Order: sequence, then C-alpha cells, then structure tokens
Amino acid sequence: MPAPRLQKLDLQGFRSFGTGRQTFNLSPTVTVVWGGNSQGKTSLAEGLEFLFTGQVARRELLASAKDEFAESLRNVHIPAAATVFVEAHIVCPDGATRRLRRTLVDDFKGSSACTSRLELDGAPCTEEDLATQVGLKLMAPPLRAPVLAQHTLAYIFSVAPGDRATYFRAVLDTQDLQDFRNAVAALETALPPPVFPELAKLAAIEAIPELAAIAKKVRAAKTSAELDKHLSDALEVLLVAADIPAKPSRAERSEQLNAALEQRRSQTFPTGLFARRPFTGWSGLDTSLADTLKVFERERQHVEAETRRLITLFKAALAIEAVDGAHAPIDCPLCATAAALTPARISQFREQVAANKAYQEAEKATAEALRELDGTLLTLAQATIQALPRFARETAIARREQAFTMARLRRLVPDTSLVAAWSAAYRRLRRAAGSLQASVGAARGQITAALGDLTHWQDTAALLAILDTVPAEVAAWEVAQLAYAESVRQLSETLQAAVDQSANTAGWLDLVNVARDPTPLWQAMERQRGHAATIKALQGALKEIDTAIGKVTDEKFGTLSEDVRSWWERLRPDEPSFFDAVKRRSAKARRNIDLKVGLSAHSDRSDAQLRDAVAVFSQSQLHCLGLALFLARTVAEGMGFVVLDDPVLTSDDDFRPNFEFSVLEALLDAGVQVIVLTQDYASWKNIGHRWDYRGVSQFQLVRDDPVIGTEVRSQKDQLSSILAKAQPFIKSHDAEQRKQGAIELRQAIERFCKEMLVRERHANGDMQAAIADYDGKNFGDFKTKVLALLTNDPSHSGKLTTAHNNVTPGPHDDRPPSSAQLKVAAGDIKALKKAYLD
Amino acid sequence: MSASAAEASNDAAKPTDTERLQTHLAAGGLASQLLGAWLAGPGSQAQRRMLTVLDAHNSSLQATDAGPTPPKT
Repeated sequence: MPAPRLQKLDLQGFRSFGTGRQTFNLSPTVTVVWGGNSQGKTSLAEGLEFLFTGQVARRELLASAKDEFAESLRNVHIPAAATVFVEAHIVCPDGATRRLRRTLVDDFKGSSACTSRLELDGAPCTEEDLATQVGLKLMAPPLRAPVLAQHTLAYIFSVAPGDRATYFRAVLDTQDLQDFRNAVAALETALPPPVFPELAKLAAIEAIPELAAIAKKVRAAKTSAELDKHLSDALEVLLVAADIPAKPSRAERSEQLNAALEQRRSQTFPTGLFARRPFTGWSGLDTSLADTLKVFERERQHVEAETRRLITLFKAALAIEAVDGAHAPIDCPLCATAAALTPARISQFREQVAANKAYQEAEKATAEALRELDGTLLTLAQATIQALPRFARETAIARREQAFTMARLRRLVPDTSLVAAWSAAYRRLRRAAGSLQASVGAARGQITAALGDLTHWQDTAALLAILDTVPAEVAAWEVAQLAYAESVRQLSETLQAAVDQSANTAGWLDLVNVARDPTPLWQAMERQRGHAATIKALQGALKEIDTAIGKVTDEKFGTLSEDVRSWWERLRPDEPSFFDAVKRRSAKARRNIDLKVGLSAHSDRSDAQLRDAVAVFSQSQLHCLGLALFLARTVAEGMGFVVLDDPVLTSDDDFRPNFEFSVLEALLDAGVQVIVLTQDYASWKNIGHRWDYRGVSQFQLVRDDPVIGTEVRSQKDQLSSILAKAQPFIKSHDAEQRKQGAIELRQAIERFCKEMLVRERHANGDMQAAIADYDGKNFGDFKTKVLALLTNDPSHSGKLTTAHNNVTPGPHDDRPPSSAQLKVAAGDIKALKKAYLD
Repeated sequence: MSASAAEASNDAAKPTDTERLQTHLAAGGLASQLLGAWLAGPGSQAQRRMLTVLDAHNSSLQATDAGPTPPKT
C-alpha cells in the first residue's frame, strides 16, 4: 500500500506565522525551505507535529519545564479572535486527496496540555481516522510524527536508561510481546493463594514447641493416610507430655486432649462464664388484646351492676313455665304481689338475661387473653434472664471461687481498652435487661389485678400503656446483646490467647479440631500445593518467555543496526570511527539498551574497539548517529514523508554534501517524500540544483514584521530572497557584517531596477525581455530609466536614490553604513517592491 | 533500513513478532500454550483463556487422594 504524500500546507497564527494564511505547494519528492534565524523554520516543523499529534514533542522531551510552554503555540501578536490552524492536503493511499486541518482551541496553560480540533474534509476526525483514512499511523511517543528537529536528535542520548529502553521497544515495535509478557505476569495476581481456616490451624499447630518435628511431617504428608497418622502422633506427643496415657485411635486421642485443654483453661481463667444462651422464644405481643378489652368494656356497660346482681332471679323466674308463657299479668311467684308480672315486665327479664350472656362471653375471652399474655410475658422475662452471661447468674462467691475476677482478667488482658469496652457493654446489657424486666413486671402486676376482679377492673388503659413500651424495650435489649457479643468477641481473642499462653495450651484447640476431622485440612493442603505448583509453573513459563522475547529483540535489533549502519555510512563514509550496533547490554537485560560504536586507528577500521557511543562520540558524531537512528526508524515504520529541520549541524559542513546527495537519494529511492528546512543558503541552493530533475520545490521564509509574521516566498521571488539574506547583517554591531549587508541591499536595488525594466518591456509587448539582459550592468546604467517609471508617488524616485546612496560608499570611504541607514534603505526597497512589483 | 531493504521489506511477508516468539518457546510447553491462548481470541478474554490453560496444565500434574478417614458419628 502506498504511503500518504503531503501536497500542500497552510499555516495561520501558529507560533511565528501571522494572520495571513501562508501556503506551501510541496513537491512529491523534495521540498527545501530556507530561512535565517528566527524566520519560522522551527514553527513550520512544529506546526506539522501539531497537525498530526496535537502536541509538540519538544514540550514532552523537556518534562521538567512544561509550564514554560504556556501560551506558546499561538502567535502573541495576532488578534484574540484570529483562528490558529495548520492544514495539509494529503494524497492518501487510495488516491484521494483529503484536507486535514487542526485548529488550536486552547493553548498550553501552566502544565496543562493544549486542546485542538482535528478535522478531515471539514468533519471531526480522530487519530484512528488518520490511520484508516489517511494511511498515517503515528509512531510511538515521544517522537510520534516523522518530524526531526535538533532538540529531538539528542533525545536518545540524554534520557534515562529506562526511557531509552522504552524508546527502542517502540522503535522495534515489540509492545505486543510486552503486552503478552505482562499479561502472563499478571496471572499470578489473578491466582491468589487459597485461604482456608484449616491452613491457619496448621500454622498454629506448627507453633506448638513440642510438635516442632512432627508438625513438619504433618505439612509434608503425601497422602491422607500419612496425614492421619502424623496427626495421631502429634496428639500422642502432647498427651504423653501431659502425663496422660494416649488411647489407640486418633479420634479418642483428640477427645483426650480436648478434655485436658478444658481443664487447663478453666484452671487459668473460666472463659466459659462469658457464655450466654441465645435469646429465643420472643415473637411479639398479641395485638388483638386491645380489641378484646374494648369488647369487654362495651358489654360490661350494657349490663348494669344491679341487673348483674338480679340476673339469677330473672333466670329462675323465666324457668317457671307460668311466667315464661304468661300472656296476661300474673302474680309474682316470689312476693305474691297480685298481677305484678306483666308480659312487658317478663319480656324485660328476657332482654336482661340475653345482655348478661354477651357480657359473660366477653369477660371469659378477656380473662383468657390476659392469662395468655401473662404467659408470654413470663417467657420473655425468663428468656431475658437466660440470655445474660453465665457469670451474671452466678453469685459473687461462686465467681471468686472460679477465679472469675476483674483483677485476674486485667492481668491476662493488658489492653485496658478491651476490658473497659467489655465492661461498658455489660453494663448496658444489664440496664437493658433491667428495664425490660421492670416493664414486664409492671404489666404482669396489672394482669394479676385484672384477673383478680375482672368485673370491677378499670385499668385497661394503664395496662395497654405499659404493653406499648415492651417492644421498644425488647429492641433495646437486642441491640445491647449485639454490642455485648462483639465486645466479648474482641476480648476473647486476646483472652483466649493469653489463657492458652498461660496454660501452655496454645494451638491445642486447633490440633483437636483438625484431628477430629482431618479431611478439610487435607483438602486445603492439596489446594495449597496445587497453587504453589501453578505459581512455580507460571514463573518458569515467564522466565522462558523473557528469554524468548530477548531473542526476538536481538533479532530485530540486528535488523535495526543494519539500517542505522546504512544511514551512518551515507552520512559519514570511510571514517575510522563508526556505528556498530544497538543492542541489549546483556542477554538478560530488559532496561539497558546500548549504542555501540567502533573506534579504530586505521582507515580500514581494523582492530576496532567497541565502546558506548554516548561516552566516546563527539557532539558531531552523536548528531549524525541520532539522524541515522531517526531515518532508520522513519523508513522502518513506513512513513511516506519526513520533515528534517536543520538536519546537519552548522559546524558539519564537511558532511553536508553527503546529506544533500547520498541521504536524500536513499530517502527518495525508498519512496519517502522529504521536506528539508535549513538556514544554510548554500545547502538550499545545492539541493535545489541537485534535485531539480526530480521536481524539487524551493521556498524561503521571511519574517520582517512580527505582527505580519513569517511569510513564504517561492524560489522565483529573488528580490525577497536577497532582502531576507540582508536582514541579519543590517542589525549587526559588527562593521564588516554591515558592509556585507550594504552589498546585499545594493544587489536588491539592482534586482528591483532590473525587474522594473523587464516588466516595462513586457507591458510594451517585448515578451522576450529577461533579467539576464541586464547582466553586467549596474545601477548607474539604468538609474534614469527606472526613476522615470516610479510614478505612483512623487517621493519614490528620491527614496530609491537615497537608498542606493546609503548602501554605496564613496571611492575612499571605508566606513560601513550605520544600522539605521541600512534599515531605512531596506524599508524603502520593500515599500517600492510592494508598490510596483507585488 | 536502507532504501533497497525498505522496498524489499514491503513486499516480503515478514514473520510477526509473536510468530518469531513462538519459535523460541519449547513446543508444547506451558509458555507456548499460554501464547497460543493469548492469540486465540479477543484480548478482553485473554486472561480467562490463559487461566484455563493453566488449570489444564496443573490437572495433568496432580494425583488424587480421597482424603483421611472421616470422623465417626
């Protein structure tokens, strides 16, 4: 697949470029741009970096000085509203020409990165689009774009070893192997060691001094039968040491040891007195009681007290057939009053008896509900007592007899905060239990009173009010229980260890538990061994992978070294000092990459001694090596173009021809489009002449006015080139340099005059007129004709004459013109050029 | 890379890094199997595939033992 080619570049507002869009129409082969110091070469190179990466590598390489780049991308002299952008027309691998544009949104601020907007043919695009649509796959950081500047050449020699290794890993593009290697290394963290309580118990058994030898056998047991036997032996060792004859089986021995353990522990401190029964049997109060009481009160109101007293008589009277069946007044059977019992009166008897029956049923239901409630409350009270710790249910004498005292507890648990927390939790527990018991007692008292005389009991509301408090009391009690349980748990951890330490029984319980059922331990040990084997195998594989990656790296380093050597030989052929190889420091090295060079005393490079380039190469040699490395990388990465900003040091004129011819030839043969930026005018001309047949493009950068910014001049604008060349000399304090400046400006005046004359002849139909027609002639020869053409402004002829006089010394005048004279002359020539030629 | 080498490299089918790596790993070994698992599918599930390889590798190494005598109830 062909690589992308840059067809056209446009810059506006970026660094030294002003608000006027500057355009470069690039050659598909070589484009060479000349510019003096501070004319905009680096702005152009970094503009291309910015276009492709959104950053400038120089800022990344000077990590400690990032904040110094604040507000550095936008030309400081342009209006705030002016858009800053870099744009390229790119001929893509599919043959289409696409317009890639990056617009600066926010400049660097402090240590914050700049932000920008990247668009492809006017639509937002991403770096991935660059690869898929433009065919431009950026290189790895920090030098991502194929743009080389002098400050980046030194990078590889000045970075820390780790960064150099990272750089070369990126160059060799072995990140995929590193990713694989890291993924394998990460497997170990994905396989945490198994966590089994049995393994902690085994560790506790191993800490029992008497079992030092046998515990090793336990851990090393190869079969479950071996484990069984070694555990049994361990039990026997402890029993024998405790003067207890060991029974035959493991199970029997474990119970023997458990009994011995309990005895020893209780002699030291009766930890069993902390034990509590669970608080059970409470499922809440029957919520229907209130309704039952309400019915009872209502029925009681329906039956008057006098009626309740006479109800037996009513029933007796109605039992008499004559009374029950009377349809007319009859005599009273009790007092014999004549016609005392009327049918209405008898009917009233029946109503009273019926009302009393409902009351009786309500009273019965109420009594049953109260008795049931009383039972529930009694259960609650008993459960509360039972849920207190055992020591709380012992008498003080009994506790002392069992050595359960605060003084002893404090001796065993020196951490006073644990004892204090437990003590406080116990006090809260007692208060909660006491409060609950009081409520239960009050409620039960009310119930007893009610059941004693339900007919006259009037304290329904009082009973319900007390019962309302019980659920909250129970809830508080349960909270207090949880807090107490936690305090005991924390206390017990320390206390149990202290007791075991004091009783010399540390690890016994673990042995007892493991020996009762060794299967979980066996399974845990198997899992642990399996994990250890996995990790060992993984580490072995990782070692093998590291060695193999090293070999692949060496192979790729070998290829890279050949490429670098090739470029080196083009830059500095036949030198006795030469580049040898880039390679790992040793077969195991992963972070140290050396650049080896050969030093020979002979022109044929015989008897060369290999050394590190950084240590023995001169600055010039390191510069060439950096260029060779960059070119090798750029070509290897398949970049279609490369931008080289002053690739040859000013002091390396001897090697400049090698670059201009041999290096460019190899790049062009490799199909790489080359853009060279140089401040060496001769080099600019040489490259132009040498590669003219390959369609070279030549440009010059001129920055006369910081506000206007860098301007692009094509090769054809000779007058601008001459003026630009004169610029550095004009300001000089050195007399000889100002003399040179005067010479350059005289040439500019003569060039201006010749172009005026040619243009006049063209206007008059003489299309054969050419600058060469005036070769060998000077200002005096054509002054009159030219002055006559300066008709736009009456001052123009005087300005041209004065400018020439200022830059032309008298016959015996050895004094150079002043900077002011030269500056005025240059300004007038530019103004005349603008008025008549642009 | 020299010019001619660059052109040649564009045409020749160069082995990938992982292909090169595979040639330096013992055939059938764990490292080789892990590389195979790494390459066998999407990267997001690579760890799971490699852990499966590890499991299989360990299973082939481990013997079985039913365990000690269980306690009498």
